[in-house]
Amino acid sequence: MRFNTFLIFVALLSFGCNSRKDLQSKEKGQSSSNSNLRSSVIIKQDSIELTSNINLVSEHKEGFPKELLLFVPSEFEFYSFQEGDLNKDGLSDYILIMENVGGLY
Amino acid sequence: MWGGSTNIPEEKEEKNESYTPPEPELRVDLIMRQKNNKLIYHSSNYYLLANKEWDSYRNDSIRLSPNEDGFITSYSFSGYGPLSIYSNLEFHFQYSKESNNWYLVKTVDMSGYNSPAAAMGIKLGQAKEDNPEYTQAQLDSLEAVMSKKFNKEEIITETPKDFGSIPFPKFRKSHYFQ
Repeated sequence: MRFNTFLIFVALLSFGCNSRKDLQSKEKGQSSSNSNLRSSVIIKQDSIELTSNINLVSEHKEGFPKELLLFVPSEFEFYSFQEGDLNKDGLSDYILIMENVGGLY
Repeated sequence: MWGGSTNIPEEKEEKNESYTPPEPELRVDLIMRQKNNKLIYHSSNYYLLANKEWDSYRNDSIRLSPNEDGFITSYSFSGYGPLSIYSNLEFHFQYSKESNNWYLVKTVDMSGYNSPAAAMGIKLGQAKEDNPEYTQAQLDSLEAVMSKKFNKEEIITETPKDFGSIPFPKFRKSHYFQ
């Protein structure tokens, strides 16, 4: 009887520990994702404050040409662009600048 | 519609083995308009612009060539303080009809002092302190020499004769910042 009680106690203790570990790992994961979220926001803020010439996101995002949308892969976000004739054929071309957000590296 | 590859080319051509370039963050694509008004992807470069961490002290830009036959990337840096210097490095890319590609045709490296008068004043003051025996004539002579040095903007231009044939997709900016 005592042995059975002991086994039940050990089982409960083990379950408790695992639950705690699960909870901790979940909390850790959540914290990590929050941290990633925060750092990604900070990077965007930094880029707006610290770059002057190419970082035209705030200026151009609204005026981003819709015809360029098809050229932005899912791993990237539009960053900036230049429009004009690049090859002297009288037609208006684009230099498209994109930021990697897909974690490819 | 999009024709570019998402596989990032490895940067194998580094001159300095101890130098580790930062991972590329910004990708530059050339999108060309056809006569039927449709746009097509031409090519990409992952190493043309700075990473954001570099942007905290360096301003990069791309502008169209005034001749409408290419574009110019510009990397500028400016230090702080009376003895600080500035530098502006430009890379001119020009379209080649024969190969239907853009090539680096010229680099222009400009540098100088941000505040020549302030820098000269400090250096001249140091020279006076270090050499109290200098006559006024010697100091005047020294000032004239310093004036030339501190007011001079150094401009170095290079062409494909110096750096070879470099098409747009293969250009590596990091080769110039080591």
